[in-house]
Amino acid sequence: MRNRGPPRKAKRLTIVLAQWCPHCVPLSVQYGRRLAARLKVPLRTLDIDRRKQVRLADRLVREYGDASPDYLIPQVFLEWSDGKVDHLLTGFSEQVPRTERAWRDLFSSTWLRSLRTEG
Amino acid sequence: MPRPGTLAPVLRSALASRGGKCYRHCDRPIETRGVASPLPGLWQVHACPSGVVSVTSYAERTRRDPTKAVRTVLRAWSVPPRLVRSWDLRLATRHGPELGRAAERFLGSTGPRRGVRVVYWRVYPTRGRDGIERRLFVCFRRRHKTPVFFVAPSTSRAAACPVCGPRERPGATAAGTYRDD
Repeated sequence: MRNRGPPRKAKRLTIVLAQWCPHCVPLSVQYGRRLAARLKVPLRTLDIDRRKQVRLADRLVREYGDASPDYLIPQVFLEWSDGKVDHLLTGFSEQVPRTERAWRDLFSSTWLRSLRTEG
Repeated sequence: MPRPGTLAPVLRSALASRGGKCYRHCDRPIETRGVASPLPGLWQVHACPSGVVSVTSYAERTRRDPTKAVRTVLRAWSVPPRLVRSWDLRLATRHGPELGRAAERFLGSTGPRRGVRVVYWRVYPTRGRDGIERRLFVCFRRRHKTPVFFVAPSTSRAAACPVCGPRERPGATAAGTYRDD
């Protein structure tokens, strides 16, 4: 049955990261800012080396992301007004330029264009 | 009909990662090599010409987490098997939009039931009590049917494979050191 409630809206973009990770800082923070601006949502970063933030990061990764004992970073999540959370991207362990390519592909994706059309 | 979990060419292409240099070892270009295994997905071993492994990845079209199966295969390929620790295996899910338009279109057309899951195995260098840094090496010589992963001193030019022994051609080019080519 089709949901006839109010259309859901993107609410917040979150990046789980570490300051020492070259896939995260500055790369993913810069792309994350751009993506958040496009979606007109705030950007939140959760630093896995900060005690309070790592608890939230671990929970987000465990529930919606790519969980491993020592999980990959960055991981990017989009939270929605209906409470749902989409995992968007996990860093490519091969090399930093590959993670950058993934960000660029995300920006030119049909998925992002469809979101902007909805908005 | 392709085996479940096998990656279509468009996904293999999207996941292929070439280029890069051997980080903090020799600065020479990383070579990517595919490996066959009983698992249906795509293996890629990224290593420098000396055989020092940057990262090994396994990608499969599946909803399940293939980490356990990957660990089993890697342990069969490693000497000793305990080189493969759960801590060093990391999972990533690829959804489509971050893989380029062709892959996104392909995954979109086949339904959202199965994404692509990638397991990475990265072993960081360690320094023993003797102060010597050791790294993960791989040997691809055809004397064994599968790759052999082992740890040896980073500075070793002729790291001896524990299965087939040290190289026999001291004058061999670096690129040929770990192959029978």
